[in-house]
Amino acid sequence: MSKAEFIYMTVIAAPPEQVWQGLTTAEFTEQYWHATRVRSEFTPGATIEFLNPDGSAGVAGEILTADRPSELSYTWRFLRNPEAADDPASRVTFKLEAIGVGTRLTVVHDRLAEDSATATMVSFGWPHVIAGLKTLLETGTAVDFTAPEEADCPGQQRATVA
Amino acid sequence: MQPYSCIIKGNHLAAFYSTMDAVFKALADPTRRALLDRLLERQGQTLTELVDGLGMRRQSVAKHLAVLEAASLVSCQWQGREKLHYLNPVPIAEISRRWLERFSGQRAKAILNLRDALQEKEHE
Repeated sequence: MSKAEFIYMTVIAAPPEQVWQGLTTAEFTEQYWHATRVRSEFTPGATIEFLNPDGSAGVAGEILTADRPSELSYTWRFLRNPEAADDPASRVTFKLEAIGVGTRLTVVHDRLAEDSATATMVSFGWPHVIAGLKTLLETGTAVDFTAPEEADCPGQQRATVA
Repeated sequence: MQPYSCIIKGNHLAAFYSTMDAVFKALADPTRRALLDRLLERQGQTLTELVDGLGMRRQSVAKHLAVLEAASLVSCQWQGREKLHYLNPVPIAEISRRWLERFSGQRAKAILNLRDALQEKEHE
């Protein structure tokens, strides 16, 4: 097994079905996933794309597993960044387990080429995406994608503990 | 101490504050921060690999890793008989988003105000 992989874990105070919707519905993803809208049929072999606000695909891949609401897996090509666009497709897997009234979400990103641009970028991106999903589902607060200096008073527009 | 027990009881706000306590306690120790730095450099290391070069006993490092694991800053995966350790920065990102940013946002605003004030002076 290659060590060029990442494993992230969080517990979200929402049932697996809701977390699944958070991962697979454009209305949700655009609120926390770098403002992108996910588009896929979510059946094995179907394409999956994360569309930027301008309609271009930031990430594209193919669905490998779609076992609602417990496991979702797809290949991953990072088209958003020119340095990473030519990296071979990697793989991301979401495992959703019901615990109490919440969900333990494990995200594994593997099949990454060692020291590739994709590996570097996903390592910075995932913690924010996963934390954004958790915050959105628990508090209803979307991530503010406008830069802090563009907002009149960023402290008040950012997510507060709710 | 276990941050996520509150979620099981359905109280996500208590869980969030409990997560913050566990994360800040875990981060308060320089050895534990060094362990996170090493995992940031390379994911999926064994205890033996992490002990190497730290100048500490294996048992002490294992204890530190247990604290990081309890705070969900490190996640583990078994590969045969080997336990591999992975950095899990999700709780840090969550605290940053839900709590720390409120302060850094205000600070950024203060710096911008200062800059504007200084520029105004320059124009006078």
